Amino acid sequence: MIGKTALEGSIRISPTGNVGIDESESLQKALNDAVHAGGGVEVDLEDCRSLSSSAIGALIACHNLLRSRGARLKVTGASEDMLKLLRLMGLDRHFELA
Amino acid sequence: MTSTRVLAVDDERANLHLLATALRNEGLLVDLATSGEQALETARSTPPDLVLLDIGLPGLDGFQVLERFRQLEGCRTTPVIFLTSLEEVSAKLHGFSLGAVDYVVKPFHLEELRARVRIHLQLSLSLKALAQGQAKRLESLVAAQRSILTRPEEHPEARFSVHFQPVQEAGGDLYDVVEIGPGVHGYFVGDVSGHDLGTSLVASAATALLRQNSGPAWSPEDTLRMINGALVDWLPSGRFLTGCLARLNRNTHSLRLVGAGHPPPALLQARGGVSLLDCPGDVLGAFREAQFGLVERKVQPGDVVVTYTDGLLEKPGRSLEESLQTLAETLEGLRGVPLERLPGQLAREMAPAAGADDVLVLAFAV
Repeated sequence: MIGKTALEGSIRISPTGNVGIDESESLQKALNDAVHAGGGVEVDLEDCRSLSSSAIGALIACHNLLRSRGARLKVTGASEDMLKLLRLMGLDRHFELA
Repeated sequence: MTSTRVLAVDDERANLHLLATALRNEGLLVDLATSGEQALETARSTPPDLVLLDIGLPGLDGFQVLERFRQLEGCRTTPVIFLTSLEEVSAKLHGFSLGAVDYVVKPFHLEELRARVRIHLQLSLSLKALAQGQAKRLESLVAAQRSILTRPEEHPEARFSVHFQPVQEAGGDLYDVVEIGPGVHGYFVGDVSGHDLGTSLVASAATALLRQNSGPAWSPEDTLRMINGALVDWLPSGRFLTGCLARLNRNTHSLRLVGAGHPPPALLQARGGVSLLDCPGDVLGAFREAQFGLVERKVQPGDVVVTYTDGLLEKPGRSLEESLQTLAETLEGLRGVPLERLPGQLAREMAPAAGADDVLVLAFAV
């Protein structure tokens, strides 16, 4: 399940559970729509148990779209384990981790 | 030669009889149905090669039958020709939008109908043959990719061994070992994101790029930078590759590791202890200005370096941190196991989630 919340000037996307290959497609679509809304994009991982490589690919693709207009992808609510994975993949230097 | 089966659906028995006779005279097997429900039942038990479908049927109409027919096993691409007295263009367009291949208005000439049936059968059979041919070529491409994997016995001086268990032919794990010069070798382990045919094609491309960009003139960082540059332009967005390239110089006992978003290799030291060599860096193919993690250290004869892909670490309910801890402990327990058996035994003892991901372990000795 992919939740979506409109915030002031940005959109929060909240993937839940295990985001496998099939869910990654919906995640990619939700992120794309959020980018095209024109504001910031935040991914809330509070209720997300695991991210497949395809899901991480969707986050990177979204970040690269935001980069082209000088913004960054904001990632919130990541567990210790997920933060470790994001750091190992060098993504902490790209995404805004909060 | 297998026989060709046509399913004719019409609620007027006289029409049906006429059709059946005409088609059987062509040497075709013909199944008959007088309602949509009956047609779907017949198609479910014996999928036809072509369907002649009336639109004005009692119960489900022809359009509804076609929609349900497409859900049946073996019927997704079967040609369907509508037969009907409805002449409006909108009805025809609706039929085509649902995936019908042709539309014949009643009353029709039997000779014309026979000709249309022949053409659509030929077209459908050639498309099927083409698809099968392409699938075969792709299979052999993937098999060729696997067969060009560098084998330990072909490069005894590189002193490495591998355990590689892909879960499906479209897996994305890859490795390669290249000789840089006398006593100097490069060892690469990588993992392409996703699990589909595209994944294994990217894996083949990455292997080719690695070989093209390895040699004494390039540092391992240069090699990864070149691979990244090529992949950034070529990969669709959302697709990337993690990897670790190790260069071991046995003349100077030095090890240089370059990490691209990959889990840390482990060093099993001859004098005791296991170290995880953290080298976090950017993944390949996602960022134009990528920066890679770098570790340099002296190693001793008898030391063993173990590289792997994340499939080795994955186990439900175990965190990444715990998996890395387990890896270090398991490796310590395997001290003294001969190099050629080490990767397989490590994979067995780590007992990753079966069938969930490719498992690749490559170990090399100083």
